[in-house]
Amino acid sequence: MTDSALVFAGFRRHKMRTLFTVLSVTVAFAIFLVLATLYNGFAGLVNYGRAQRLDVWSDGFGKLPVHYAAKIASIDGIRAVAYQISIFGHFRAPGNDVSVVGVPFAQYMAVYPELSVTDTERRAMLADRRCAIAGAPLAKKMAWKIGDTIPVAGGPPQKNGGTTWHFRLCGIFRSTLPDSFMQNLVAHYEYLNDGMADASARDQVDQIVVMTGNARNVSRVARTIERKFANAQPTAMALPEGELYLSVVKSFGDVGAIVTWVGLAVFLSMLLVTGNAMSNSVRERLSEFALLRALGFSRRRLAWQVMRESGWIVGVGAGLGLVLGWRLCLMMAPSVENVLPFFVVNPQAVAIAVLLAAFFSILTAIVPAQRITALPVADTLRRI
Amino acid sequence: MEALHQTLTLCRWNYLSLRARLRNASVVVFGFFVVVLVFVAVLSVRDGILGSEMRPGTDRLVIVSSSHGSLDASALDAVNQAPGVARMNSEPETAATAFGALVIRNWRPDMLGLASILAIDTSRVGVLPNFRVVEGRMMRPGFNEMMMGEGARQIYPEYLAGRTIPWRHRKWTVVGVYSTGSVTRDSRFLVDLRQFQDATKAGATFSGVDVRLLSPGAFSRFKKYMEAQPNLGAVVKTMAEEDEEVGKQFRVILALADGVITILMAAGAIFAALNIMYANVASRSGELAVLRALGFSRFPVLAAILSEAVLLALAGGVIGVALAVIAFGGLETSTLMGGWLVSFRLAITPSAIFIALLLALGMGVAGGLFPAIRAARQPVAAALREG
Repeated sequence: MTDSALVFAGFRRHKMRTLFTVLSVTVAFAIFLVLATLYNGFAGLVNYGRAQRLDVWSDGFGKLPVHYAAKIASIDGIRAVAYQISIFGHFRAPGNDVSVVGVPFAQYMAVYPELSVTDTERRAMLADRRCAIAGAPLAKKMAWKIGDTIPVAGGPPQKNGGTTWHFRLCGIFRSTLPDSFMQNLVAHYEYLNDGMADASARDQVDQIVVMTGNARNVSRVARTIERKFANAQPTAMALPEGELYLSVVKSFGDVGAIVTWVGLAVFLSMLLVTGNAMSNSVRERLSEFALLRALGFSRRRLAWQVMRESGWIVGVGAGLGLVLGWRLCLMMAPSVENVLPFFVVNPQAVAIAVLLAAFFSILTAIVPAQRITALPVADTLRRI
Repeated sequence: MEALHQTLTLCRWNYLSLRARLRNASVVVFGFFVVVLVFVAVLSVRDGILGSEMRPGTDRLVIVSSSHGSLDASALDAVNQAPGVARMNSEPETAATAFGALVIRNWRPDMLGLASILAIDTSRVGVLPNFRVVEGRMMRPGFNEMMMGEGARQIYPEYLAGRTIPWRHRKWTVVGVYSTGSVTRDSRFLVDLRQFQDATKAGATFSGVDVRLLSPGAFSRFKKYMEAQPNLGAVVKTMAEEDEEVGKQFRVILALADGVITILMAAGAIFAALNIMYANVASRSGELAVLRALGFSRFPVLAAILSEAVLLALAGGVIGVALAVIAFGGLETSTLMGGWLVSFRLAITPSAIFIALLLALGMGVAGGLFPAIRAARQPVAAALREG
């Protein structure tokens, strides 16, 4: 009989206990993954704000005139300036919503280096003013192919009286950014702007995005921009993205702390439960271990056996838990995405979970293993 | 009568033996305690926000804005003439409002202060439901003065101490604190509309009109009238609707997180309890068999084991609730809602406590029922032979 067979025989003897112990571990790791993903959702916001980038808005919550962008571009230390205006409509059926972002394409790609298209797509896009590129998830959802004509209905009125805007899909962009940042149809600003029937809506932008050459200059550039428009109407507000997103995350503050505390509490209690189950199970079998010792099993070998037991229980439990947690995250994502666009399970969290599992299995085995090592064989056997 | 007597005897016997099983019993209690604590903590965040958003008067306070952006005096005239508007001394109870962003740089290390400013015609501030000045005085038209909401005072206490706030190249003095009882609305700064228009060079335009209606029932007629106004593009909402929308996403996340995590944790605690209760029954199968042989029937055995699990769970629940009340009850905290810092007080409501204890009870039954059934069903003769 091999040692593994002995371990499994031990599991089979108390099927219920084995099952419940494994399930406790499963639960602990499922919770760990959900909380780690939630935490990543917050942390992802920070990483998204590129240190060199800053956003400019009207601080009266309205739109900005497009000519502000040219004035900003003349400031020292700026690498690229882009701006955007959004229109909203639907594709084919109401509810099939599409948000179209009108941008100066070349500058937009310079400001968001995270987005990538092929060179062919880039050339096609620059050649045709009706061209637009869609984020990969959007194109997949709507089943768009390159070359398709895409009617977006229900937008703002056009000069010709219609409210359906037509675009040609010239490319599909990919990015390391998560899905919710990729749900836009990116079109030419000029095409949208020229098409607007309402003259007062023309030459306006929702936001100007500035890429500086050096992250150290960001604050200085932001101040310069604000000073430049201090006496203009509307005045502008310039915020470095790094500062803004870090601030947003910090502002969630106490909610983040609660998440951390919950995680800790859950983990500690699960450790307690598993450790308790293990030590109960060893205590019940003390006489058997004594017998094995008497039969010639070494101390070390028996200690290893306990380690293996806990390794199996924690390993299987953690594996199941990670699968369960991953399913739960997928399930929760749609309702959370609006607030936490980075609610995505990341490999780092899984790696940490695996390390924790290893640590955890050793920790729960240590006390029972020691007990066996220190077992007074003759005494124990006498008590059978 | 006999059954009751047997049950009480067995329960007593069982509870007395708890002392010998102290470690396992405390693991069970601890498991349930953690679940209840976390459950109540998350619920207290939700209730802290939810509670404040359901205030009287918000269903007859209507906010009119325009899909075209800004409004001007002709829009205010249209509102004043609309049906259903409340009047005081024959003056319509309406107030023009506008919004601004107040971003306080270098507010905390690595943190911007993200506050919003509400500008309102100072003489009409009474239109806001439940508005009262809780400290200092109202701002005066013609002066660069601001008021802070009670929440804003919690978030930015440094500004009340006579410091001025730089905004739009002017220095604003905080002169008082107001309250309307809403978590989101009281985390703002308040300025006079005319002063705001001056500072923002917005001319005589504004972004909305707050309107007090005669009754909530007047809303649909008012809304229809406003939406029929040509060239206005009126968007008409009650304040209650607006409050509901603001907190909604936040609450959805909390409810989801609370639901998923509570279910998972409860499952974990129940597994732990099952484990321990089964082991407990198994290790005492001999004693139980002796009791059965002495004439105790099945039900008292079942009741004794089940009630132990329930009792341990309730103990965990009570400790969890008590600790939550001590640690979180009334705690003032802040978070980000809709892009702005919002201050609120964690609220542990009686209904949350009730649900938490119910949860503990349910977990106790789930963890104790099957082991109790096994104990009650075990064949007496076989157990005696083994024991």
